[in-house]
Amino acid sequence: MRVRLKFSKIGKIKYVGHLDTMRLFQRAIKVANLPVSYSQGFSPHSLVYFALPLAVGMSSEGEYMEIMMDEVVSPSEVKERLQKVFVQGITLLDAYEVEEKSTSLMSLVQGADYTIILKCENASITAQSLADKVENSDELIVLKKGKKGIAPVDIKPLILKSDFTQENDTIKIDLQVYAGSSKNLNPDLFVKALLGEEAYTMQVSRKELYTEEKEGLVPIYTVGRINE
Amino acid sequence: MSVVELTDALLGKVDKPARYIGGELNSANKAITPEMTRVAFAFPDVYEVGMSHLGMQILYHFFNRREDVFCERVFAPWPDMEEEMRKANLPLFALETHTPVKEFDFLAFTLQYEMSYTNVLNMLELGGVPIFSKDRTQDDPIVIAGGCCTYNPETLAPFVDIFYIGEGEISYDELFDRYQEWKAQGGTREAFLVECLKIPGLYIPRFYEVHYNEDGTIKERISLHKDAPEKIRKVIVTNVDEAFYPETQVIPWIQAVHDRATLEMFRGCIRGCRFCQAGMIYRPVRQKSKDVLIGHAKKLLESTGYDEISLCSLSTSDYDELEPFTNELLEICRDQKVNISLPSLRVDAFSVDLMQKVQEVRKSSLTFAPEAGTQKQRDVINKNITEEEILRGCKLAFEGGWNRVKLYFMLGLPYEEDTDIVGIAELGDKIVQTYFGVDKAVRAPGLQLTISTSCFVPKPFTPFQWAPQDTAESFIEKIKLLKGSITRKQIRYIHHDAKTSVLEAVIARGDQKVAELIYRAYKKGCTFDSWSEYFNHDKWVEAAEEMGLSFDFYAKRERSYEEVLPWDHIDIGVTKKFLIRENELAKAAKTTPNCSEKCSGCGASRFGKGLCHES
Repeated sequence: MRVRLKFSKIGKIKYVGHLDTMRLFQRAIKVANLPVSYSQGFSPHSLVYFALPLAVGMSSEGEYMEIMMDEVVSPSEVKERLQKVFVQGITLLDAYEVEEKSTSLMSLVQGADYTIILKCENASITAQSLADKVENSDELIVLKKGKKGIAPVDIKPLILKSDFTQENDTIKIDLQVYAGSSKNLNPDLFVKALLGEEAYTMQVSRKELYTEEKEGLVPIYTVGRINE
Repeated sequence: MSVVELTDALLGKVDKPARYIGGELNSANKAITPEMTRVAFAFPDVYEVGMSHLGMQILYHFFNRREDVFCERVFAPWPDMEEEMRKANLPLFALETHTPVKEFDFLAFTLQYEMSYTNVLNMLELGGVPIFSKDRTQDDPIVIAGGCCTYNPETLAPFVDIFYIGEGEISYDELFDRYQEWKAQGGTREAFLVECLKIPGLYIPRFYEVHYNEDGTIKERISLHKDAPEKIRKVIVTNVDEAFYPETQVIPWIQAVHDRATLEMFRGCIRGCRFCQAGMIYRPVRQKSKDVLIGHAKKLLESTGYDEISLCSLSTSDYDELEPFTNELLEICRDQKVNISLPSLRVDAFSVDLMQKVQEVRKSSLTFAPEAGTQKQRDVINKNITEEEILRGCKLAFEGGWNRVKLYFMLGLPYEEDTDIVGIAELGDKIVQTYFGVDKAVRAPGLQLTISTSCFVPKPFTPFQWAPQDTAESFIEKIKLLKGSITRKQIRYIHHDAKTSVLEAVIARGDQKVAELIYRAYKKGCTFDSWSEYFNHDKWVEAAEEMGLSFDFYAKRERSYEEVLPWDHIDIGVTKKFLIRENELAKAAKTTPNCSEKCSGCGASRFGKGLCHES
């Protein structure tokens, strides 16, 4: 059976990178004694999947993972048993079974919400000035490191929504972008496109992951779900 | 109690910030009370290295089994983090509660290799703890050091308050009890250290004075306190089956060098190789029974979720219930999809058979350590293995489908001649021939034979403790000779840096004057000396020149049996008489039977336990 879990990753644990987090989950699943399935072949590994890697230093309230199991265990029990093992910082928010034939978690991801808390050294940069910049430019060009080296890209078409709020000396940005394997905008790159060489610090948190349906973007947890 | 806050801005600037956050799976978390004894267990290297260390995992859980003790972990911050911490004025802290190390009752270092010593000084300094023991006050933690390097404690003697000589399970409880009594009574720091003189296995350098001869050798060591014992005998566990063993391990956030469950099979080694310090200091041989090991394995795998378990010992294939043990372990591991790793194997048919069983599908590379290339040289070092056995082992491995073999050797062993060095290449050649002698249909294609040489470093408490070490130039000549003797294209040759090995020899057999060298090198900016990208040989040379210390005196000079050695006040159970006898046998290239064949009367039987007593 396939069980999907939604979880948050908050606090210092955000400094544990994607691969290390995967390893952590694989071990936790064994400690929780869940009947996880294994791949065939020379070096069998447990079948655990993540939706979209989360960068080191980024927290999240909308992470998804999936466990393949050889035996039936109710999703609520999976959640309970795993949560007991987990260290501070990871909270399981939801657990549900998905249909055997449903699309893989990774290929579902098409959009993401992020909240960025930005602090600029230059006081003339405000929520309004940034909002205007996004609004008034036809394209937002930024240098991006790719497989073939550094090349300019236009990120404007990748932005779905961006709201800027001034909160004292910080700027809060609620950002919705394309995400996943085909089209993806990293929030770091978005900020770089807006600020260029300006000095700034920021904290980024992922809020939700989406997939595209006829009616538009819908949160991952609504898709392929079998209710208990 | 204060807490060191690591801001996002700071952690965002350093590589692998998860090294510094704490809170890992299975790490300890306790409510802190004023009565609690707080121990900061420090490993003087980076997180991924320290977290791989079995001794730390054992003692961490051993200390924390007591409700009135809270042990936390500390590692050396990587240079990028050190820079950020210094900029932000943050002191060194322990991972569990982020409390500065200065506020702990004990700051306990484990010393596993000499090249980590400058990191010890740096960690003290970063923690705001005075580097010299004599400068510490009531407000400072008691600085303890343990681990295999403490068998020659002299090179760190000025910096350490208490050296713990032996296995941790024995005297730490008493030490903590005494500490709590002392703290309740409110005595001076000195009074506590005097009290510690009565605890077995503790060496407290401030109660001794060393006098030197004009030639720089040691004249005598005198006790300055009536309770300071003339000799400090190591303390060891007599019943390893009943000894504490952790049911779990702290799971590192980021992949450690050895990221796996570890099973300690035995302490000590029956072999008695004459260059090997571990083989002498951990005598007598004590092995855990099969059922106890299986019990540990189950609990460790249940609580960690690891997919690999390593059998830890100095020579795994010498375990006497090996067959039934591995069969039972394999069954557990097969069920749970766990791999078994066997780090210390002899090059013999028996070991290959074991590897075959353990790695049924995937053939990783096989690693063996013949240590020397010719029979004469292997007899000198008492590596009781013949060329025939090595070749038979390799043949079986090739027939079993292995095509990657790695062999470790040492250059500069005592009584070595050029023929012994060329002999390494010749042995390699014979192994290649053995490979081609195996039917093409059976062997895996593309043999890769790696020959790796290190430079011999004479160590205290070995039969070679009096031996001269080769100079760096001589090592380089020998490396050249070997390189030139290897003609097979299937053989890849790699070697260690000679300069690091010479310095390692200086520190390994150093006295308290070498402590000053370490301090001066540290002051010049040396840290992370075991990392080639940070090792700065020139600074060490400069430091030595400034104080008129000669590397040759410590590394190259042959000692006489009569000379007072810096570590003579430490008693490992094995007698000097035995070590002399072994060195004389080495000169004659004569071997000594191993402990399971015949007792050679090394002296370790005085502990009243171990293989020598059972047989």
